[in-house]
Amino acid sequence: MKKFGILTLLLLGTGILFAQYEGPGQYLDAIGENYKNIQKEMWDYTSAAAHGKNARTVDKKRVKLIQTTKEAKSKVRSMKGYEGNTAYRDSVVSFLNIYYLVLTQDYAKIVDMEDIAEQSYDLMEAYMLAKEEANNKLTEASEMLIAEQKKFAEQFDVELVTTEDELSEKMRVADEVYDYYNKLYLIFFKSYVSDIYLSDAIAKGDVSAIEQNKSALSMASADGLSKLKSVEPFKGDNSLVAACQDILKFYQDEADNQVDKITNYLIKTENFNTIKASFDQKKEKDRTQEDIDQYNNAVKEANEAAQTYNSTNQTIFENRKSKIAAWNEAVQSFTDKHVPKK
Amino acid sequence: MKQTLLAITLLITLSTLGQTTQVGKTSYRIDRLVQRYHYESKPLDDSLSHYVFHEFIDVIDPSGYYLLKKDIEQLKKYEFEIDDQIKESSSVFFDELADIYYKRLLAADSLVDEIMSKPFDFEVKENLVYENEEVSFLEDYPALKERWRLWLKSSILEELFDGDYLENPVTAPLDSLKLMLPEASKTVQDYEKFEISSYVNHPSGYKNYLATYYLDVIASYYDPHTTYFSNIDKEHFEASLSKDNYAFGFSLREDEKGQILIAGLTPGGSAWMSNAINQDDVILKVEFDKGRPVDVTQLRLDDLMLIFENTNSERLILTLKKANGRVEEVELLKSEIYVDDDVIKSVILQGDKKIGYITLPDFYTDWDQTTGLGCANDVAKNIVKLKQEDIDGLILDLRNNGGGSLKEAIDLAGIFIDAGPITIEQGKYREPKSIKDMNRGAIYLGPLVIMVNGLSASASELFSAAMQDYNRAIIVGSKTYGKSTGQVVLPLDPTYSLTLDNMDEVDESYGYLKLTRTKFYRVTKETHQKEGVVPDIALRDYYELYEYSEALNKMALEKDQVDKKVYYTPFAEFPVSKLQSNSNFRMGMNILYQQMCTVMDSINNFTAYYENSPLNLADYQENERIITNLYDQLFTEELNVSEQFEVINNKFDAEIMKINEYRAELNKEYLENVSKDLYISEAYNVLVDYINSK
Repeated sequence: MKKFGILTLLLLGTGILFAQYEGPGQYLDAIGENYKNIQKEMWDYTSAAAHGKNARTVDKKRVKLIQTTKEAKSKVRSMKGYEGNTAYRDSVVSFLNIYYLVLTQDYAKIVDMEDIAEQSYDLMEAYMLAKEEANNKLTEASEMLIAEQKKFAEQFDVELVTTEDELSEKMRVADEVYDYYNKLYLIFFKSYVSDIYLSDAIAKGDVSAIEQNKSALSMASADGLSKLKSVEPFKGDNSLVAACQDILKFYQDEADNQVDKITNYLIKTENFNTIKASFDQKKEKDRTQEDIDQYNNAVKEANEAAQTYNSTNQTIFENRKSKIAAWNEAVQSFTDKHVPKK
Repeated sequence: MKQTLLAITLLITLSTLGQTTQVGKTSYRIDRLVQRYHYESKPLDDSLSHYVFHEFIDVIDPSGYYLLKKDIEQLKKYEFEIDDQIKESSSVFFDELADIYYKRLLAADSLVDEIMSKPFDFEVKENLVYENEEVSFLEDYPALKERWRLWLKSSILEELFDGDYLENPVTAPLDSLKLMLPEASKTVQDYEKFEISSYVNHPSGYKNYLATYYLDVIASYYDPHTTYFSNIDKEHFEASLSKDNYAFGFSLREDEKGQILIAGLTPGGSAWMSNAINQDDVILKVEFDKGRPVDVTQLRLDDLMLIFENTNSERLILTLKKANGRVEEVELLKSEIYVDDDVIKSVILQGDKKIGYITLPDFYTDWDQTTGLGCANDVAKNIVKLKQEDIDGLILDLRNNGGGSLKEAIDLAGIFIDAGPITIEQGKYREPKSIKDMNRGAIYLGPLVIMVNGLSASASELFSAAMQDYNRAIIVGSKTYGKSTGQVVLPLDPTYSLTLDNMDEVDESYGYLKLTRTKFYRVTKETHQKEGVVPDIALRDYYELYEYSEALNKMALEKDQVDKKVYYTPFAEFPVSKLQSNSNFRMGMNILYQQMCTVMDSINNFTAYYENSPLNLADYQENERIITNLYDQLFTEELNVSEQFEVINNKFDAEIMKINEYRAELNKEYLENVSKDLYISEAYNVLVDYINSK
């Protein structure tokens, strides 16, 4: 299972063009120079995560980003105000500070959460929420920065021509792709995690946990399939919805039709052991034909149940493997297709 | 000048506090552990001293048969000093009382011989009056001798009627009763002397033995479930009978009072299958195929084990005292115990509706952690079996279930709800924490009734309470015990720390403290502590005659609320008042139930019986006749097999019964018992009533 944890951060409209007034314009430019690298590195990071680079590479990029942010912050802080105006400089420092805190603190927490997110649906949901919240903090900080920029421009009569540069546009698109993917991922994950618990319970022979997780998986997959009906294709691409449907149908079949054979085997075996113990305890001369018939019949039934158990387990295992591979593949090609390349 | 004064004061203080002793050191350790870990510790002050002073005297001499008034007066100086002695690790009060008590025990032993040297006059009209108020200690030996005389007479009469001297003592002619008096007298004399000797000549030493009571009284100040175990107890603790020699399927232990108790049942064994024996039942008598019953109250555990090992009897009758004080006889047949995975019984009540019935006597778990699978898993398997038979509803019987593993209770709840909090645990320093069913999904979501009574305690209550709060089950029966606390056992060894894992290095001479560490609350923030779980459909049962509940312990922790909001989604409410009024109507028409209620009221109203005991043979017999009659009506009532349903095995069990005659025999009896149980019948009615109302 590929982890997909990435932070899609947006730097809103910080690409600025300014023409006539060299003085204040240069000042804006000088400040902007200090943090434009951040934007680029952020994109490197997002892009690396989206296109399935290994975790160590991805995390290296995050560490580099933190370092760059820290440096930018101290550089901007040491700059002088422009004709007595320090408000804009301070707002940049404060923005970079928030950025730094989110990357080091919120994100550190998110990295920790990511490690355990797969353990349960609730943890996964909390992890997703935490990421969303971190994104929101950055968005707010960016908006505050833009407002300060405007004030500065008004005070010194600079005409700001705000455009979305190429990077910002890429970021915006990536964000859109992930929003869509996350929604589907949670639908998938709810069944996926129930299935993990179910497999674990089967391995332990814990009938109580098997039956509970079976019912949870049945509910989750049915619920997921009905939710998928209202999900529109992404820019005409329905591949992710179709892949999600496919794997949920597998889960639904597992819960509703296959698991009973496993429980049945566990109970039958136990019953058979009791019958066998009773039979073995009887001396040979005391055994009636009826006893022998019953015992033979029990042996036959137990063997049948065991065969069914083995083949069911095998089928579930193989199907699960191929369905998950297909889903991962679908996710990979979906992000490859829609998240812009470097 | 001042310096001298100070020195003198110090000297005086030291002399009343005394030197440190092992008992004193242990008492100090109890306080230390309690202050650190007890859920609701109380300060070591005069209030504790006052409690220990009176409670310890009450424990060793509850009715004033040993100590004299002057003894109490002599000790009075310590009434508010014991806390200071504990602080100094000394035990002056205990030591002084132990010396006095030793003399008084020996004196009582002589008194008994002296009084018993002449036969009693059972013609004279006199009474033994039971004192309900605080015990009065007597002035001198002549007064004490008179008290003993009355007591011994009453004991002989009790022995005459309860022992196996005559077939039916309440209707026997007085003359034949009189013939048996010498034998009964001898038994009583032996018993009293055995009691005294069990202190004076205790194998671990008189004073060591008495100290276990003293230390336990200190522990009991904090709550009834905080108790002291000495290393003497531990030696006898869980002295299990080996399965090879002994096939009735239970293990024994001896408690600090020298009583022999059921330590545990072998799942699937004869005792387990009888459904009539529970952990901690006290064994009063054992009777094998041939021969007279053996009075176990005068035996040590080793002697009893020897008897079991030397018998090859196939049949055993046990006379047991249940937790609530009721005395019951249980017959067991020796069986080959083999490993049987499925120890829970589930049957089908086949009537207008098909109702599954599962009985769970104990929240057992796999304590050795080999599989981690306990009773919840076994119940789950039975539910799967019952579901294959398309049941319309399920009854889970938790009557007499005294609790067990908390984890199993949580797992069991998980079977009946999707997911969510089951209980809130509150420790001393920790924030309250909700304990959740982590397994999403449920196994059974159909109509459910849970049966409880006054012996349903602890884990049973926690589970029932959660099911009630979720509106998941209709609770039927009588109010439960009321214990909502959790305990841990810690060594009193001062060098022990929680971080030290190696229990082998613990100095056992200090003994152990079982201490109340946590309190459990319902998801509604309330608790069933002290109050019990109140059933939705209330039924009276004969347990109300035996005073047994948490609330009767004067040191029981109070019922309160926890400050934590938890989120849970209850099911739709049951039409409880309608179900209750229908149940009242049915029980009103149930002649057996009505008779039982009338008899219980009569027993409760026969106050004379509880206040004094006539010591005249004829009057005593008359009293016994009345009470025996009432109890006979209560217990030997010819119960009818239910007309509403037939009790049948599920198809898996039916297969086993075909091939295993022993199981089949037990099974036949079990099916009949289920069919005759009027409470199961009513639980069935309530459930069917509810199903039809939907």
